[in-house]
Amino acid sequence: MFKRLLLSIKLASRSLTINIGRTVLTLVGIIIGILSVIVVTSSGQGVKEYILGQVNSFGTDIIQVETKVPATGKTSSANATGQAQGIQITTLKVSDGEMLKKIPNIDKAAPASIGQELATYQATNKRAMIFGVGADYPFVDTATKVAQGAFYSQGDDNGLAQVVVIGSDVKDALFGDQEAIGKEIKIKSLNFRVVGVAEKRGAVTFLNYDEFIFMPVQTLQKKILGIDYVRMITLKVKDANLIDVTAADVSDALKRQHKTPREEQEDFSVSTIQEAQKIIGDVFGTINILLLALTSISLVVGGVGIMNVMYVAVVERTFEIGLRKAVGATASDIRNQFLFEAIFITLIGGLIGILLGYLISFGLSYLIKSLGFNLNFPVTLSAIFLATSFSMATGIIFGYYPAYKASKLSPMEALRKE
Amino acid sequence: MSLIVVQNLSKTYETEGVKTPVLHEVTFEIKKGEFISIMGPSGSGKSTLMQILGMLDRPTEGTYLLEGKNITQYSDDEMAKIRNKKIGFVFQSFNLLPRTSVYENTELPLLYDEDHLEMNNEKKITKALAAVDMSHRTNYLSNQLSGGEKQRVAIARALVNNPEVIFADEPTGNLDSKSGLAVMRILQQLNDVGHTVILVTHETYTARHAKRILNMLDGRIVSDELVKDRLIADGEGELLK
Ligand SMILES: Nc1ncnc2c1ncn2[C@@H]1O[C@H](COP(=O)(O)OP(=O)(O)OP(=O)(O)O)[C@@H](O)[C@H]1O
Ligand SMILES: [Mg+2]
Repeated sequence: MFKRLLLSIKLASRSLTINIGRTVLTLVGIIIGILSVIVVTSSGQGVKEYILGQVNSFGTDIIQVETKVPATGKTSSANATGQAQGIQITTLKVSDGEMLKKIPNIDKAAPASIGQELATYQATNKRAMIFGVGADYPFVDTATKVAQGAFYSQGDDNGLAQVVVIGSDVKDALFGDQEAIGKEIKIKSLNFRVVGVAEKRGAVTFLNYDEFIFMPVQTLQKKILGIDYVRMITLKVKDANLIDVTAADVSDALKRQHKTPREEQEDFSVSTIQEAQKIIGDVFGTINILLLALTSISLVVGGVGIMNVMYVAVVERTFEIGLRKAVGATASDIRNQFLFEAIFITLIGGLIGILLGYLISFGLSYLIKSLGFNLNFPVTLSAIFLATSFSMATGIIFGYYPAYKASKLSPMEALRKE
Repeated sequence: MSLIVVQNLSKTYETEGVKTPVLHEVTFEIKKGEFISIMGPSGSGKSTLMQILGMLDRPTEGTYLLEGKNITQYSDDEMAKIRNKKIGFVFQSFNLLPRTSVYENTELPLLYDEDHLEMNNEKKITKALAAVDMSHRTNYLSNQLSGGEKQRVAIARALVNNPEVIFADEPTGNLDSKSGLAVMRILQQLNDVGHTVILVTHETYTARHAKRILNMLDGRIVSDELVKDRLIADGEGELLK
């Protein structure tokens, strides 16, 4: 019994080497199927980790307060279109930040406003995002670090000092290799002294912080934009475990301050990074399912390909089957031989596919890193498991029918065909 | 005791409801060591009869005793085992495995013989190839051989398991007369050393190399006689025929 099985294994491998052309063709189909599972899942995983990493770089101890068009959800399209159409919410103030800072678990508060202006140094111009932020900003956005000089103080902010901290791209554009600290640049015909240069950060998902000019938020309001409201206030909590309770406290305090007791009146939204993570997780969950569906389709197509090849092999080798039976092969000998052929070929194809998929993912990671993105395409164990078990399953499932069919051929029927 | 006893054997093919009666109540016996030619026009049922005798197919009715045992009782697997041990086949179209060496083609029946030790295989294969004068082509691939050489390898394959009976269905049909004669000589030699040989042919000349001729017509045996002036495929004279 065992000897017969061993014989089938031997005959299967022999037949695969004898019919090397057909073997290679089948292999290619399987390899492509397996490879696509590996690459698709690993790149999906990589992008997910990258975006989550970006989100996490803002910190898990951060509460974001933003303006919102009343009677809309904070993430709703009504809110987004409202803001885009220029419905300006003017009720969020710097003083709200000071008020919120009194909540016990709130450590830092950085109100922020945004403008876009031309910055000039001598004859050089650079259009830059002017990011008006409070002096607490480096604490709430720890990714923004000062490389030279220092960030301005709360006193600078309150005193409407004309000072700026410039992003590294702005520094390069205006000053080149020269020292920037202490120099004065012109924005809207006012002179601003450069007190700090930010560390290069590289491109983040949507924004290039290196093109920012940081300025005390009140200076931006009063001297440049002529407004008294802010776009958002970023808060940092002391104990991140209490962040949900604190976020509710923030919301309550703002309701009282803005005299908007009912939800539909609210002109602000309070969110935490945890929520953002959850949303992103959900989105990727959906994308993963989609990717999986796509790879499943490609695998099923590959599987049907295997079945076709095996089926053709049976038809093509009818005479061989007849001959083997004539000289004493039993139905199970024939079935096992064909089944092992299918298993071997899918196993080998699976291994090569995993290896190539691994190499391609690795190559892609390398390529993208060399383009300046910190993006990895990790090949997960589950992807390897999925690919391996799938290739085994295709071998057995799609190989079984043709093998069964072959074993049932009557020897004399098979020998008549030629 | 007769090696083969066939009584009232009938065969009707049935494909998609259409019945084709091919053999009608055939009765005869074959003793061990005989050399029989089955003759008859095309479609008379020679191959069908041979396939049933060779246990590649089952009769529809009647009995077939091989060495006194009724083969209709056997399962497919048991029939496969008997084919492997007691029967060797030679076909008109050689039926060698393509892209496979002469050695491996000859080895085929031994692979499926689980009662024998593998170490004797090489000896058996060498002996079988020597018997058909093909030792010098042992490592050739089947597609590198001439038709006559292919048929000789097919005979080596048929006799490698030292079978009781060798069935040959038109073994010379695709060969020139010289190669055909070589095949007949081998079959006669095999018969001389004790193998029973059953040859299917429609050429009287070929048939006369046997010791006995069965004539078939429309699925019936119409004559059964011994060959009086048997041809022996050994001399130069025959080649000049
Ligand atoms: N599988 C089958 N199904 C239906 N009919 C068949 C089948 N095999 C053979 N026959 C029919 O049986 C008859 C006898 O066929 P067989 O092959 O036995 O003839 P034969 O005497 O060997 O002829 P030839 O000399 O041409 O080889 C033929 O009419 C053939 O069409
Ligand atoms: Mg025939």
